Amino acid sequence: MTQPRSNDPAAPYPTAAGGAAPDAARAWAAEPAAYPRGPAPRALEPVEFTGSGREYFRIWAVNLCLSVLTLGLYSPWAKVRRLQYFYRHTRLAGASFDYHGKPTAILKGRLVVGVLLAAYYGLGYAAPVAGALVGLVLLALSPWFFLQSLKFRMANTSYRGLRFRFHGTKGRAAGLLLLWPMFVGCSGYLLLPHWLWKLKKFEFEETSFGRARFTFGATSNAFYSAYLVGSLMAAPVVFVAGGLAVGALASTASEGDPEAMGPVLLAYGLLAAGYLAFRAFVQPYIAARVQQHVWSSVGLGAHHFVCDLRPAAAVSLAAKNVALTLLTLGLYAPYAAVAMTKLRAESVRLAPGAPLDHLEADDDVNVSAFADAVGDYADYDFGL
Amino acid sequence: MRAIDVTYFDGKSARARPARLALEGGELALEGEGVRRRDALASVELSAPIGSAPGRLAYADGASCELPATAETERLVLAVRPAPLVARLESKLRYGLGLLLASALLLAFGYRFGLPALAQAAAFGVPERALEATARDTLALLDETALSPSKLDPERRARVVARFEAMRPPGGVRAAHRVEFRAAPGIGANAFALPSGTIVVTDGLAELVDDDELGAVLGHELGHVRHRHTLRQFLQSSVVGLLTGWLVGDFSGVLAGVPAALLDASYSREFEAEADQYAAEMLLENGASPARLATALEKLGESQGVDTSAKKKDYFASHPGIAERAALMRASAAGAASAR
Repeated sequence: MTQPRSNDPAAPYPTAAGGAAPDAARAWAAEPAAYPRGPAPRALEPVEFTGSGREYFRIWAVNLCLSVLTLGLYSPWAKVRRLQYFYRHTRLAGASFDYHGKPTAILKGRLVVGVLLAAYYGLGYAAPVAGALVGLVLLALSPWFFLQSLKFRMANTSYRGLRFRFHGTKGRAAGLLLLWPMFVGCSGYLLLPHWLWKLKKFEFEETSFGRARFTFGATSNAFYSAYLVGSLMAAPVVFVAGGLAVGALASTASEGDPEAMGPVLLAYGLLAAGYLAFRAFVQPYIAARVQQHVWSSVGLGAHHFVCDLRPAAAVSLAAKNVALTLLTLGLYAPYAAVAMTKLRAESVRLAPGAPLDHLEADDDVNVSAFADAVGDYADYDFGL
Repeated sequence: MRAIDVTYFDGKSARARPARLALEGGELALEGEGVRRRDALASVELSAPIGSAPGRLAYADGASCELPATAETERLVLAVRPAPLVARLESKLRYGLGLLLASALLLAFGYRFGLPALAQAAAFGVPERALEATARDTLALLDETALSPSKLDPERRARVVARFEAMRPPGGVRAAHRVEFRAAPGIGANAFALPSGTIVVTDGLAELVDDDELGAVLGHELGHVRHRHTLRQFLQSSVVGLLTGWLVGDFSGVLAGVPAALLDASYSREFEAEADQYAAEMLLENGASPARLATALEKLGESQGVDTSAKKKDYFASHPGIAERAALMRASAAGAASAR
């Protein structure tokens, strides 16, 4: 399946787009004349995140346990509670965000996807041909799942009593999720950053808040730069962990008992260590660079955003989070999620181009009823 | 009851209006800048604060209020309806820790007893005909990839199969099965059972052991067939993989792979022991010695460069140690001899 998927509770925000934001903000600050009748330039409005790790730990523990005890059936309720906790603690200009997803609509989506995936794996084992057919169906449906999830997520996100809305079409989603991965593959992954840039652009430009549409000014060059440096950081990890893992496996093949799992586990462990290094350094670096660039380029009507997230700060926090989560066998995970959300959310500021009160609702749709009908299929979480 | 300070949004613009909200005679009364409304409790949706995160009041017409997470809000919400169980569980750290402990115990119990029992029930619930159809696909796939036609003397193949088929299975229940020989240079000396009951013996194994030993190995594989081990292992490791992937939060499987592999190995060891036991019973039932399986295992081990005399314990192994298994088979043979 190709749709982006993330369980990262640290990234629960709707994202909007804009590549020229720092510039826009500067230009705006420098030219108060653009707003001749208004008061002096409006101050930047910082995003605040007021959640705490201690408090979220209790919510996380209850969510996790009820999900385990109900064999996963509770997980949609857990997701709603988690997102409501994070959204409501995210404040901007004196008001907080909110999440309105109905757990039953999420459960419906999860059951549909769950049944299809179970059929895919089960048949893949029992009847490979039928399994492959189900796989094709899943693949063909993946743009639709992706689209419905974005629509669901946006329609269920509110700020100051107004909903967000996603307008993307099936055709564009299919192009992005079915055709583009082929181009990326054919290009030897050289087009990967360009594809990810197109996905972000799609997400932002098709999103509106009330009547205002988001604008996206980020360039794919910045994505290339972030992924290039990220790849250079990843290279030693891949070579060292991968090389040692291959070595461990080769030693089993040549001399050991093929039924002894020690070396296999060693190889697995090395790969896991490499993966952790990736999660601690490479992934947060790329995510921070991308977020900084994207959120500094996003506009909404007359408003612009600025983001001053420093990759070094994101990397050192991610490294600390990974280490403490490992040491505490996962118990630190809720603290890590809160700390990362706080860092990423509070790096964003709004440069209002007009009073926020002037934003108006898009009055032609009953968004909440529409959102329930759409359902949440891919469990798509936004990266801020 | 005192009124609380809230922020009112009319749902038509992003304008934030400070307002006061109070519960009066079963209705919610709101008063603020240019707004005054009374709504029946039944017509609104009230969402309590989550910890220190604000609560929300949603009106039927799309308007809403942000309720600050204060003691007054708490009192107002509680006057409307009791706190949900989840909110009460979240209120104390010890409840969370207690739930975590309970979940860990449940997971351990489910892993040790629940999942094996469920997988067994599910595996025996699948009709034999369905299994056969699926295994034809699997064998065809293996033939295209890892296996090629056997180069073994057809006469020996027929002899081994005929002798094996003449043996009475323990308990008198004959599980449907078929023995297939294949050349498999990539796999080496080995035998394995598909869920349908197809037992595949590689040429490498047949060349390594004599006819009696091969019969003992076939007995072991028939044990896997009889107990539907292959299907049960598939079901169990699927669930373990899914759960570890979910709990570790990494469905890519890189991080969850280690615990999943460790957990699977223990299931696998139990199945091997059960199949050995089946083979021993089958051999004894037909007047043969379980020691044949012991020598077959040792030859297999030596061919793979394993020091079979070593008492080394490998807790991560998917099979019990060969020395240990061979000793069990010899003990079984000796026990049967002294009982006679």
